[in-house]
Amino acid sequence: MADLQWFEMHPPRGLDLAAVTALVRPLADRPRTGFGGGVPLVAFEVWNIGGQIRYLLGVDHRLARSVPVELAAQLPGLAFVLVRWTVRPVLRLAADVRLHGTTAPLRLDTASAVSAGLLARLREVDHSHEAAVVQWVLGPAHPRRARPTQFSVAVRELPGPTALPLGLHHMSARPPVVHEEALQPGDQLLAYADGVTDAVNDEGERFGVDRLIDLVGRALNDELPAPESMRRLVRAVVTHQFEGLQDDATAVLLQWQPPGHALAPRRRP
Amino acid sequence: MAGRPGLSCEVSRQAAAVHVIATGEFDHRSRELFDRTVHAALAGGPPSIVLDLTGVTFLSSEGMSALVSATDLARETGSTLEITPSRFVLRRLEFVGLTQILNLSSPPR
Repeated sequence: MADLQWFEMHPPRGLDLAAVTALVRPLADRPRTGFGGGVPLVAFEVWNIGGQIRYLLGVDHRLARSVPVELAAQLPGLAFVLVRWTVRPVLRLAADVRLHGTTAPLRLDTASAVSAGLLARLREVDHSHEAAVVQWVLGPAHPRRARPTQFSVAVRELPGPTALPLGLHHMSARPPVVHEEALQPGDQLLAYADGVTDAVNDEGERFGVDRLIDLVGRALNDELPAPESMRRLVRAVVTHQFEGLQDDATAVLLQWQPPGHALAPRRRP
Repeated sequence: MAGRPGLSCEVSRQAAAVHVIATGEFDHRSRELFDRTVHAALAGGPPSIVLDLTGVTFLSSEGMSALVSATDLARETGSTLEITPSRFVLRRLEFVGLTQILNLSSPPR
């Protein structure tokens, strides 16, 4: 299976998305390599977190030494920073995608068309609850090749509502909907009451989902143990809330560790 | 924090229905006022109550609980209760699935 190394791309100031994609686009035509003649996998991601744009490039380990150097040589001022863990969705190849709505057409003939397509998708995403990520995988639609256990670091909101609030089920004939989620070793699940995101500071600003996602994402990036992540979350909410907490602000963080499977060592804070 | 907005409620009795108009932020601080207002509006058993929340800018889980309780109470007294939500309120109610059990009219555009 292919392993990906992730880099954050820092383009020179003033560079627009079309120019960035112009750099990445030719990678789709890279030659086959290796005995199997496989096309190395490259993933380009555009992130929008609260209006801040980030570019991430995931590169097949066989290309990790050469691709960043080649791209940087094409564009003076372009920098690559190796990242160990990134806060991003699980990599999905074409074979894994289940279409549940009309997708925006993505022309690949020009960099401008690609960037226009990516921006269109970003605009369509509802920013009210989560960071928006557009993932562009430059590779063939082979079955999953990347080991998901290595890259299942993600911060995303689970779908809902799946049932009425507890105690109200008698008021509806609809049965609860069961949502299943496949957890990978090391995955964390955060359940929180609205008292966390509704905590308000002395300027009337709510803690909010975006701030929660950012805090949890940083904890994941820093590879913190779950108890430390919770401690920081509690401290952040209590610090944010003016005059102390007024409402129930419960949060539960679960970390999945299957029997016999040691979690990857986490950095101590 | 001085001046942090709370919830204000007023009752308007009209021929067809009793209107309860709530404005501001509906959280745990507002529960008692809201409940008292709804009880007062239901006094005398009016056939219909309209709960106007178009001016509500924030709704906590306590506020949602209050809406469910008001709906139950209206049903017990033989009244119908219709809620006109603001867009914020509607999103919150959709988020927890309460649009299934509350009688909602469309929020204003």
